Amino acid sequence: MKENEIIIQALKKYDLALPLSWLEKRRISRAKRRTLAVILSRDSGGRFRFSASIFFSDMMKALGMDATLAAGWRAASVSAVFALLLIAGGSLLVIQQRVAIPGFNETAVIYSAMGSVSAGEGIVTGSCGSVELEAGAGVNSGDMVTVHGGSPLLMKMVNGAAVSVLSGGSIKPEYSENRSVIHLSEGCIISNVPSPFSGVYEVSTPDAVVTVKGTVFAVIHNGSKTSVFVSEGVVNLKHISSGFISDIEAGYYAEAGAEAKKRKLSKKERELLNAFEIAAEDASLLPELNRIYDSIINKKESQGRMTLDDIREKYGQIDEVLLYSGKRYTGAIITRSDKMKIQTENGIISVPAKDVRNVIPKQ
Amino acid sequence: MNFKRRLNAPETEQFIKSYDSYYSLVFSTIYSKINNFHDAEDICQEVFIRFYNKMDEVENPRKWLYGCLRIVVLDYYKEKRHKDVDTDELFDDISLGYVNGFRDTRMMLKHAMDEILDKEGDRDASLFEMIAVYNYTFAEAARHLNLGYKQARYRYSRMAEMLMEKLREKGVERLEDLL
Repeated sequence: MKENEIIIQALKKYDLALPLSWLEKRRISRAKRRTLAVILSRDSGGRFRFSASIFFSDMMKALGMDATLAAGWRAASVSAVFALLLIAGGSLLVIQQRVAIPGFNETAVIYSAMGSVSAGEGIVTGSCGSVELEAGAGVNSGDMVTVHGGSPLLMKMVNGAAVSVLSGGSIKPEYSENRSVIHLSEGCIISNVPSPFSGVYEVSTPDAVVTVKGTVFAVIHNGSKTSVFVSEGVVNLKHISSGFISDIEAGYYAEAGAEAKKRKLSKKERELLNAFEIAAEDASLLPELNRIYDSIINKKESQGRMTLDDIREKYGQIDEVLLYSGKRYTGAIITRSDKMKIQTENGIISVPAKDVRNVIPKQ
Repeated sequence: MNFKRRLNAPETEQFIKSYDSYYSLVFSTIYSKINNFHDAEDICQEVFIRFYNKMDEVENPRKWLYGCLRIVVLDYYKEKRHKDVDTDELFDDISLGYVNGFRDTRMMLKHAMDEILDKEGDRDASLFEMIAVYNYTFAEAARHLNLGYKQARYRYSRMAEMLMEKLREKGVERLEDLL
């Protein structure tokens, strides 16, 4: 507007203009509301209520309404109710995300520890210290989950995968982008990953990485060995130190190592995976998983034959036991009462002490 | 008086109308004189508290507020005992100042402005002063005075025309001649 510019220039020239900066004008605008609230609340109090009324009536005026302070107060009240509803709704959604929606979007949810949860069977160690797990609890990405006692845990994740951690197992789930990684440091976990699966699902142990695109499989890490059972689909097993990669098809068992050690699943192993699929739907069957797992582990141990080196390492020395009958047993003498027990490569042998002719220590 | 009564009281409505029209102007006037935002806010608050208490007796709010703000500013500095503020200088009549050697023209311009500001209604005078003197934009001034943007432009152009009329009466044909 030319006319306005000339007036302003004239006032400036004759030192009649006192221009304010935009910041000063903004501060004045705020001071205006503040001061009005102070003046009106001098006798009656309720400065906050007056401030809210003034703020809302100003907003309404800015929208072209002929608003009074009373109208501003009504608008403020309605807004407060809406804000409360919004906060309550938001909180409910957040709580649902953690409790009701089975998920693993930075948080995995313990769907059930058993039919009835007994405290102390699972412990989560995270940034907030250690807490005992119970059904409905959340597990954050990076938390350490350790399962004790006789109760396996079942976790369901947002990506649809169901994971069971059997007793004695210890895992650390991590989630980033569309990549779910479960670090298994000890024990057994069984996973049901839906197919098709968006993203990457991995179970990593200290010596192997098992990557999957949709299947049912179990990973066991026992001290120094990682073994995988697959009942559906195909998983990719990588032995970390050797870099050896192999695909494990449905119905096969494999051990991570520098070469492929595969065989068909045993009856018990197949039973474990089948039981897991049923337990994922019916949590009361979770303890059954532990029973089958224990029988697999115990069978392996009972089947495990010790070499002479193993026996020497365990018992300190190797002896040769010579019987009057001419038989010889090489191993470690465990007991020397009326019956002598000897740990040999073929297992523990018991012979009457009176039948022993001589015991010769071996180098 | 409780909150709801005060909210709905007719005097509150009346006070807010004057407050909206004059607050920014009174504040800008005080602030341009003392150049301290917090002091200006305190003084402005005191001016409007006095105005609220005397509202029924005030006939011309504009004149009353300008008179009151002088008193409050002087009281404020007396109370605070500011040694570095010369209170006499604060309200020296600016038209008596000698600026750029055009003292008469300045006095004439100031006089013409005062005449139209005193004559016109509350909001029009405030609008003109805010835009011409304190550098508010049309939108800012309209927002402060609860006017629409087009209303503000129209009212301002009316005030500008009246100023020109006054200057013509004093022998100035075109405003550009003063530049």
